[in-house]
Amino acid sequence: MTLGLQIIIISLGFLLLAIILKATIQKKISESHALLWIVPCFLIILGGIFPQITYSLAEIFHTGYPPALVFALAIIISYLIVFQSFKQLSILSMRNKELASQIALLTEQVHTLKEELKETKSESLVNQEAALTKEGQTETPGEDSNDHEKKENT
Amino acid sequence: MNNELLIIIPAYNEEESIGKFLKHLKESDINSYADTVIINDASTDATAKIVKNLGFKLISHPYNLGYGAALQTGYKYAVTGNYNYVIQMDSDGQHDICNIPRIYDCLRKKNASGNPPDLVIGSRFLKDSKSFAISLKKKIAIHFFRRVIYTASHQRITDPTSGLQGLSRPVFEYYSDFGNFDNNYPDANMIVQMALLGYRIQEIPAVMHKREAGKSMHFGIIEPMLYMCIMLFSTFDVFVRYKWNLLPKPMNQKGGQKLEEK
Repeated sequence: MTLGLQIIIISLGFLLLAIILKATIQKKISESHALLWIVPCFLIILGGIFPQITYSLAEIFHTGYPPALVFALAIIISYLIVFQSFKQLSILSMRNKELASQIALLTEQVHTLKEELKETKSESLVNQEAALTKEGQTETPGEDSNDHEKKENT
Repeated sequence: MNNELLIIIPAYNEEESIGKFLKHLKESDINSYADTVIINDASTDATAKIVKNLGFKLISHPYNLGYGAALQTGYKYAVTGNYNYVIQMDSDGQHDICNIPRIYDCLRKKNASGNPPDLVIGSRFLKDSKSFAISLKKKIAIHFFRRVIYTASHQRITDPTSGLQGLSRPVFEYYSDFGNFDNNYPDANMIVQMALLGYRIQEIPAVMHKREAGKSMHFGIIEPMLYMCIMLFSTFDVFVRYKWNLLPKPMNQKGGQKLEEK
């Protein structure tokens, strides 16, 4: 591996690491999810600094073409990350459905309560009006007697 | 709550058929002993308007959640409304309303062992049932699900894909809890789950009509095949979870009685 390529790989690793850390600080990705991406970043940097690791591993696994090992590793890690994402997606989808269902039920309950409140309000208004009319009727004879007294005084 | 029976009707874009079906329901004497709720699964047509105009109770999802989720919303409503029984039926008019009193009676009737059934399924394949001609594709699927249910739970069900079902309170209370009901594809897997948990399942003859309007959930060739694969996997999942004691146990031990005996 040439020194130029090594520098490019290491820089790329650090760039990816910086992007992930920035996203984590800005709360755009959770710490646990960020960790899934940080580990491959460190592997990229490690592979850039010590390229002989790849050759040694290729020898251990009897791989004639060392980059194939890197590709295999990359595919496995990607697969695991995608699986983890799908798992989270399924959980969130289930919770989302539950919440939407609860919202639908609560909306219906609010609607029913509003209707009931309206009815109670109109009923109480009718009752108040009835009470006022009754009061008025009971007060009228009193007023008449007062008037009569006033008239007598004059 | 006025009655002890709630009829749950999930609906999605059924403007062509739901009006006629609900009018039939309104004109019948079923309203004297049952309440009805329509779960509108975010229909984009006039379904909600038709239901409102006819004066039925309507619950609308904020967006489309699927058939299973609509049913689960209905179960939650039944739990909060303190209903004792639930009957679920399709809004496309396939399920005749004459099935309602039959299922209701069956839910309350005690069998030879002195217990009423927990889950009643309206079957198209029992004696005295009336149904339309079923396509070969559907026949194959039904035979397949019958075999799957029998293998997993030793329960003989003639119509495993029937959406016409009556549920007693222990069943819909269990279904209403988060994670206890498959709100994506509730079908043979749910029958297997309830049978394994010890709930009593009974089938009765049902009257069903051919769909007059709208589109079936399982049309085409690839979709039903995919559905069968999902259902097979889902049933396997239920079976494994039961064997490994991972299935949530019923809150009240009505369903668990048989479980303990086993």
